[in-house]
Amino acid sequence: MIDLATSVTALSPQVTAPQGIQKVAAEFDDSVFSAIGQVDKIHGHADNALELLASGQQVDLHGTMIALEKADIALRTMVSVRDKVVGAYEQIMNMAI
Amino acid sequence: MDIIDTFNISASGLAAQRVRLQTISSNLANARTTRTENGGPYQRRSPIFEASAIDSFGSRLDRALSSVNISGIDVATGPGRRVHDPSHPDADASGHVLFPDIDILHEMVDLMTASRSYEANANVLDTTSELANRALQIGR
Repeated sequence: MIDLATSVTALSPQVTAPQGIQKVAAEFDDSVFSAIGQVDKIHGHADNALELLASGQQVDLHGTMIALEKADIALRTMVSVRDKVVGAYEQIMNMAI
Repeated sequence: MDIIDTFNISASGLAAQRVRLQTISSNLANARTTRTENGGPYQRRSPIFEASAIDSFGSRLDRALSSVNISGIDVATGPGRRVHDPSHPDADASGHVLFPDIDILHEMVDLMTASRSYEANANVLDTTSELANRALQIGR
């Protein structure tokens, strides 16, 4: 979303995006990246659990399944949020000016 | 309190029931064991569970919820069951043998409740996951 703000300023050098918008965009950017990082971490846990189970070091079936389920839900949540954000972006881009 | 916490609580329940199953299997396998490293018959094992707060620094709701912890495995200290069997290699001078004080029926009932508890915890997990997926479909 920060790209949206920077592209606005790039297209019209005379009109810079208001400070407020840039700040909000940066905050949104941060939260998206931290959320993706969180999802990645949960997937790392699932990967690790799967590896331990497969190599026979840890025979914790339910632990592995739960880690996989957590990863599944985290990914689905991320995809849902992405769908919403992309939907909002498309709606704004299609706006008739 | 997010959905991951619910998963963690149920996971602790599953782990606890698995330990319970393990003690039952140990008790059943050794129901007639007369020799142990410490001498004397095998002693019945039973797990000790303790509630532990999932987040003692969290909100009021989080502090009220707890997962289950296995704080230890109790080993019985009874003398065992005295059975008269002079032909047994471990019989004492009077012909008595000390067998573990394990009631197979009791263990079987314990096994049933442990397996049902495991199922119950697994069901909570499934339901939680279903609800999460349902919530993600809001507005589709």
